[in-house]
Amino acid sequence: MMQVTVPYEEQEPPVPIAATRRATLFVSCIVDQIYPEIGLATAELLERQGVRVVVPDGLTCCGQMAFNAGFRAEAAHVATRTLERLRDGGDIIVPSGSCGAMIRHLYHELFAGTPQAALAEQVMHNTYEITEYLVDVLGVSDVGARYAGKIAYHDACHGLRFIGLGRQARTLLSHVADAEIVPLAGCEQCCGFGGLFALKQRAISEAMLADKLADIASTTCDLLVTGDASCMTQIAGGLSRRGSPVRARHIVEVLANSVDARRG
Amino acid sequence: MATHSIAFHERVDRALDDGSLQTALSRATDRFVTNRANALALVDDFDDLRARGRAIRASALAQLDDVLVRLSERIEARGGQVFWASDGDAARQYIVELARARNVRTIVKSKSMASEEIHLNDALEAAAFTVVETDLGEYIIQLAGETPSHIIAPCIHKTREEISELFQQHLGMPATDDIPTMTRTARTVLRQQFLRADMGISGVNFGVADAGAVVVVENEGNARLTTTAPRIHVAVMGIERVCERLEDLGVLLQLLARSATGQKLSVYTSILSGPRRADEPDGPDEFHLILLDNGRSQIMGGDYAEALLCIRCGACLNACPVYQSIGGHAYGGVYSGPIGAILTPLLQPELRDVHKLPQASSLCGACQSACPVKIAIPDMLLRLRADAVAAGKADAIERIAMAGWSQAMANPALYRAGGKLASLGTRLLAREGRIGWLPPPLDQWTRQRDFPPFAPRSFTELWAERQRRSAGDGQ
Amino acid sequence: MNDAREAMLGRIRQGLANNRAFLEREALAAPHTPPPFVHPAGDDDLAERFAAELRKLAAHAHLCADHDAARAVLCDILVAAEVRRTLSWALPAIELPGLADDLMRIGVERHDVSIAPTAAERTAHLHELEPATACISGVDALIAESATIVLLSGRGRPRLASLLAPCYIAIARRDQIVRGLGQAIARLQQHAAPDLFADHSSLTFITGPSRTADIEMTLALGVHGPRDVHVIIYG
Ligand code: SF4
Repeated sequence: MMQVTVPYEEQEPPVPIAATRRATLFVSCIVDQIYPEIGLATAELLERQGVRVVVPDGLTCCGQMAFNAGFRAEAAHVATRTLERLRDGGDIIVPSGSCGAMIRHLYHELFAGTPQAALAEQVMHNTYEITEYLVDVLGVSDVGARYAGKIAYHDACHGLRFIGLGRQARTLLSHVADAEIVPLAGCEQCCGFGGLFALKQRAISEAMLADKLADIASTTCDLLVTGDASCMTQIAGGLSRRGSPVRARHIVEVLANSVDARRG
Repeated sequence: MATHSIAFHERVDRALDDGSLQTALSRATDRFVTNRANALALVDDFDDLRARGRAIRASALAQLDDVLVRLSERIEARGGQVFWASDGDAARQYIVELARARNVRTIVKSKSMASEEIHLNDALEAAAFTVVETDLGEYIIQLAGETPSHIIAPCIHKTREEISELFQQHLGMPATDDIPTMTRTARTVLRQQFLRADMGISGVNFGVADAGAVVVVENEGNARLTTTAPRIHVAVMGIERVCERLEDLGVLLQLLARSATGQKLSVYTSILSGPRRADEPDGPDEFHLILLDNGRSQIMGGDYAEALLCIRCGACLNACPVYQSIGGHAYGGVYSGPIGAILTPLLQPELRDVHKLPQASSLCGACQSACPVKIAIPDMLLRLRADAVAAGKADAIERIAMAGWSQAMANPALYRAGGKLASLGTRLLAREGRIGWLPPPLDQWTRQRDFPPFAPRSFTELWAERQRRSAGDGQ
Repeated sequence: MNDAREAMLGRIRQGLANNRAFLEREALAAPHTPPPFVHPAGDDDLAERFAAELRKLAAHAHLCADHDAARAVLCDILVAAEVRRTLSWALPAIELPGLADDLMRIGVERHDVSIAPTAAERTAHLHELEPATACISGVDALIAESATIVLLSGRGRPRLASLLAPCYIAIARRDQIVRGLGQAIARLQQHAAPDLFADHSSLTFITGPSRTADIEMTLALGVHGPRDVHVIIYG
């Protein structure tokens, strides 16, 4: 069966539902600049569940890259602006376990003893990763997605270990019509991205990626799905360099039927 | 091989290029990980056990001064001697002088990371004592003139062929690569050393304050022989390796064995309380406990005190994808893997490139998930990175990049402009939607990975447009 | 005691001033009591459970109806292994009446361990003991869920009598078996209150044959301690 997916920009805007919930969408810097389709897909998923999506002006980045590199002052400089823009945002949704972990797990240490500490705690409590929000908060397991093919799921580390993700994504994927979910050996093993680690420890990062690609190659999947655009970039970069037919996508792209909305 | 004098990056490259090391590492860590998982699956509630273990260790550390005093007083009351060693020098000197005073010639040793840490063997050999490591792995390492590469399995980096070669050369074993034959050869040679040795030196897994005892855990029996056959037993213990009561072992030993090797209990657990009693038929006549500080009390006061909870099980090494890729020697210190990346900069700050060890992590968190006492290793690695930056150890190029990045990210206009520029640049470099080459330093990415071009229009722009459109439709 | 003691304690106290609160919080986060056992308990027979676990470790368990049967099994093991010299606990400590006669009957010599204080005497005695091919001891407890033998050293209870020879035979009564390590420790402490170590310099847990996986992660048995481990349970 041929499947035609209309790029999101050309679709009709969804019928407005009498929205009872409002959520602030924080797509992250990498999605904003490199993968806007992921941001749009996330918004669509929320709107389909009757959530009114708000995107505050001037949101940029959670500050993780600098924080992870040890540049705490620089990270705080950025994260403070982000906190200000997320103030009073209600539920805050990120399509990334990693940015989610930064906000929920590490803002505590970053802002400890600063004037922003209270605000940081408030934002920490309001922040959800998208699959977590759909399944655990909204109680949805079937978002009406369809994908004719075989999907393998990679558990991106920060979401898995610092905010307990994995179950939610699998629940949602198991309801994708026509899709077969195939097991991926070592699905909880790091892909080797790790932010600047990928550059500063290039050789180790490449070795870890090679292991991941070998595990992917040993499945029959045609689509590798994960919940973080950064890990997806690492894995996709390895797949395409090796000429693999397997594509890598963010989970929201599968859930919003926009797998074909972008190249690569 | 003096790995510690080579730059960290070179050590990493060597390890990644070493085919037999790669095979040995994946075989060993896979086996450890599987065994551990199987053992955990059988336990009723392993997480509850971990929580208790962590609480027990934290409680002992919270009153470490008192706990050490209790431990030392009990041991002295049983006729043992306790030496408080501020650093490696003091410990080495005490042991060398003791051996001289007692006319010791041969010393047998069972595995002790603390004595590796203070290079005890070098000092003893310099003083002309014969020192024999008796754990099979440590013995092999000693014959090869190397250092351990794993807390639990010191020679996992060596193949059976390399070991056979060593045994043929040093022990006159006939050529074979049969592992039982090699093991028997080592047993025969080492047994003679046990019978002759005047002093046995062991490590300590736990000091039990209220029992006045030290616990030594092992699988081979060499530690039992080391602590039983010679007339003098010297136990070297890092001051943090304590618990308060004998009952605590009902938690700690279970955690240790399962996390280290996937066993329910290790084959031999020796709980030793001073020299042999007057009516006991065997055991050492003298018992010396060395309480080694060597930087630990400094750690206690800082941001890394949690690392002192470590029970040296090695589970974090096996779980770590970086350790799985590069092995223990690349870390350059006595302790390797994730916990080594924390302990080595703190305990051996003089080593080359030691501040780079905390960089050798993708922060995936697998170490913390595996740790039987739930040490927040990634958080500490992040702190160590921040310390290195604060101490001015970051590269100039990184400092400049970070300053620029933070200005841009904190200023939406600058951020948008930067994004536009990156979009233009990356789309120029892209062929068929992917980038195969980026200029330095980003070429580190593109050697084996493609990179996607930035989008022509950012999410922010697309969203704004969509909002306008939908507002228009709504009217 | 030496000079460094006060200096070290001082540094520790200084360090604790910063982190004691953190550590105390962590100490209160969970109970400290050890679970009596850690594997799910069925209504299984403890002796059977011990035997099954021991066999998984490539060691041998023998369940006997009474002490006569136990002695017979012991003799069979010694004869089959062609044991001539043994090293053992003093016979009264093993609590198996008639054992001395049996050993004599099958021609097995029993050596007592008695290490003398001088270096030369010690080495000479160890060399004398070394040719023994079997060790025999009683036990202080058995732990069923891990197949662990628990031994206190003491008068008539040499440590070497479970260590030196390639074959080791432990003899236990059924009522000495407990399910888990937590229970074993509790029982020992009860029996030897208030100070378990007053007359014993060592407490040893033995779980299966001596083993190593140091060469290529390949399991090899009997590297320094006994390779063949037998536990005879009677009663
Ligand atoms: S940090 Fe944890 S996992 Fe690593 S060796 Fe120590 S106790 Fe084991």
